[in-house]
Amino acid sequence: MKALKALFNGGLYLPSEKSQTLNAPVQTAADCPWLFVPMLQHAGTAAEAIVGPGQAVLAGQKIGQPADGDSAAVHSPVSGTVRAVEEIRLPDGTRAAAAVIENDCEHRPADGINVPCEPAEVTVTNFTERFADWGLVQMQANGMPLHRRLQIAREHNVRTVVVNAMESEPYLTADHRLTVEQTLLVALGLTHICRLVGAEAGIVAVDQRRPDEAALLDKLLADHAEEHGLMLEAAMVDNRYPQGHELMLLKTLFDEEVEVRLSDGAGELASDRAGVCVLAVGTVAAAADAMLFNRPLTHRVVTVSGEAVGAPGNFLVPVGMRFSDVLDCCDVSPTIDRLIVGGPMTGIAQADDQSVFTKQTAGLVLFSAAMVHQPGPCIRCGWCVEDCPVQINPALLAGLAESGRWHRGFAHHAETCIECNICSYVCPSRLPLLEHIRKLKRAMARDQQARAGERGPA
Amino acid sequence: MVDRSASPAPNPLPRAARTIERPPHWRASETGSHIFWTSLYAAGLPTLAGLAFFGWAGLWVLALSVGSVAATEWLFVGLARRPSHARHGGHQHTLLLGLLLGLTLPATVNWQVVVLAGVVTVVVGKGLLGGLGHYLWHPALIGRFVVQVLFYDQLSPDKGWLLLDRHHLFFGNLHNAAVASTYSSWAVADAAPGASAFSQGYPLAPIAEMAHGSGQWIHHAVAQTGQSMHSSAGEVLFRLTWDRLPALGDMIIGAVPGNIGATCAVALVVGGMLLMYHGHVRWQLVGPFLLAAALAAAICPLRIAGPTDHLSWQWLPGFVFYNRMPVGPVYVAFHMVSGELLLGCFFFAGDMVSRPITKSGQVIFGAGCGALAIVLRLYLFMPGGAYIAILLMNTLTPVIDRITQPRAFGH
Ligand code: SF4
Ligand code: SF4
Repeated sequence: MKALKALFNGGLYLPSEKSQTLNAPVQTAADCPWLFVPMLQHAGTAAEAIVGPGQAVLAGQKIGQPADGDSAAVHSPVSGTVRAVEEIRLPDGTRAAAAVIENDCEHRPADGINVPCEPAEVTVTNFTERFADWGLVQMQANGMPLHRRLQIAREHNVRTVVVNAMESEPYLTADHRLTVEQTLLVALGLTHICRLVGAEAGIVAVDQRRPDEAALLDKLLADHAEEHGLMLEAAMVDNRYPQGHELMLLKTLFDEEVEVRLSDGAGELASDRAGVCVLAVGTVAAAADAMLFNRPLTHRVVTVSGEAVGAPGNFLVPVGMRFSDVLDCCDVSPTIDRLIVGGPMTGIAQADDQSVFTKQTAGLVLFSAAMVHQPGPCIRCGWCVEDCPVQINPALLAGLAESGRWHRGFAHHAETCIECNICSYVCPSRLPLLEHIRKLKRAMARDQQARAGERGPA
Repeated sequence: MVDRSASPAPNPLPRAARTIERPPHWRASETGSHIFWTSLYAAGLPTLAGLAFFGWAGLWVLALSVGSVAATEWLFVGLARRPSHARHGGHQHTLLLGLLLGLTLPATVNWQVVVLAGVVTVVVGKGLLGGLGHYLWHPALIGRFVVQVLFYDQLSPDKGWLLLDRHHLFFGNLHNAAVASTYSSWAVADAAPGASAFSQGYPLAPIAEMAHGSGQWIHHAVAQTGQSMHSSAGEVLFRLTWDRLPALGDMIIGAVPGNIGATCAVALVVGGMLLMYHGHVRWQLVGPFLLAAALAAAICPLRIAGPTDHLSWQWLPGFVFYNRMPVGPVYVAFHMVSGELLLGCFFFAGDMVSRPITKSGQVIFGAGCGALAIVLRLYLFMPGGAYIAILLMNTLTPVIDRITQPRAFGH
């Protein structure tokens, strides 16, 4: 097993804040009477609801049909009755249709769910439909449907699949618990995904502070490697933030870099061009669960933590459960300053706890102490430049965005930004640097489109 | 808020969050005001040394300087309505500018000079040139440069320079000074009876005299040896370092006349280390600065009197030995422990706003400042070569920034 130093420049060792929930076993969240299962839990097209008010559903029954190739199915996590299909607000602020299900708390499974099956039945030719049908999507990053993600990996002939168990955001421990408690599932998932994308090697990247987790994984992976003729191993990787980003993993594991394009968003998918496909550990475990037991993706592990939470923990929650239903059993302080979906570095602040868990929700972090971040003028301390993991100049780019000189963003490689938010974190003037850079990238993308349009008809 | 009035599901009272902000939801603890506070307390050490050696007179100049800068800033902010000056450590930055300006002035200047320097610092250096975060040149150095040009005699090396004696530290009257009849080192000398301070020449003046070939003593040195009218470089440097310059120990502890905060090498180095420890000044700037200064001092030529009093250039003075005494290295050491160089290095070149933003840019900037400081000190005789060198390099900051952008990932 390799123990690897972070090879990328910049980055920071953040306070980890994970100790409260690191060793807390995953508890199944108490039954909640109502679920609001969104039809859009991935990047792409929303699924089409195929149930209507009054219809009885079973746990694992499909309630949303993939609309097209960029879509994934949605299943009911519980048994009960659909009461309505209405529009709700998702944690990221978008709105989507959701099936409102009244839970009968009997957990009656649908036919054919939860039965052992033969994963070899999922093949290179049929995985697209099967995965879309199971509702498998990336449970981190951009949330692209898994079959689309694997198709892209196949197009690039990736040679290695990397499972990202780094979880570099502070407070979150859901991925760690999942890896520790479902190690076999992770190992099997990796094996089969390697087979499906035609990769010959698989690596699970584990935080170097968790040698036990890595040793356990390494042993299980070694057992499966021979059987499938793959090179499988676990690697202990330095925990300097944002090591969990796929480009930083590419750098640290293979010492390779790849040019990021505007179309990569926050640098996702760029590593495929270097022959490496990075998947979150939750995604891999969910895929294994589906292939081995015919279980569609209806639940996920989340962490609820933060200094406003009296009883933090890791919970297995059904998608569509309201945040308030989990927070009710976590002894939350009466005053909440921030309610964050995801970690404090990149998570999204919520106005209240009425939104619902989706397949991408890694956790909830709650703070009660108020933090005032009023921006001031840049004092050119240079810390954002020093700590930027992709070595661009956030202070300069923010200046370009503010003065509208976005065309100069190309020369300064604004598209390379992986949106890790380190720059805004360290800025002593509290400038919202990533906000500015996102704005710049959007303007650059518009410009690129306009130019492509000009060229097109000519 | 989600409108669920039509929804069949019960609508419980939500827990509301007070703050809805874009990520990140926590920040590193350091803010602008922390940075300027740290500089202030690091600058406290040379301030303390200055108060010890220059007493009430030093305190008066510092107070005037801080007062005039703060008052002008207050007026300027009030008149120009630029609240960004006041936010994010603007107040601390104002105090810091005032203190740093005072530290670069001698304790004997007239009050008008100090006040004018303060006004220029704020109005021209900081206000008109863009304000906090935007100014190109260090404002306090602009203020100092202007009064140096306008009131040359007040800051000139030719006037009498004063220093309290060891029995009157902090509380002595600096103006009650006399020239000491015998003076080998401050640590053992006593002021004349009734006096509390020494009156001396500007400590580094002999070095510049040697570079200009102007000092009479260079010729005397030749005459005294009497041997074939050939003076070796070693001999002249020996005279310089042993006879003409203050004792090296005095320079290190700061017991030499000079600008209030620019005499005590120990205090400046400790203060500078504090800044480096906090990560506010990087070794990538300080290292090249000091290294380039030492190299420049070791290389740049001095004038040595040869046969028939003809002066010739002596290159590489830093490598000269005389009777196996390392006179050359000692000469370089004098350059290095001069407070003006160290004050410039840690507190002025290290100023975040006016130095390049990338580390590689800081290497170039630091090296340029260090080398220029020595060159200006030698050949442009005006005290404060380091300050002018830093102003010159500040001018180049945008250019250096442009050529030292870091290499982006994948490029
Ligand atoms: S510019 Fe982008 S990649 Fe660099 S620190 Fe900021 S958010 Fe991270
Ligand atoms: S961290 Fe903030 S203050 Fe420092 S250089 Fe970057 S933008 Fe400017």
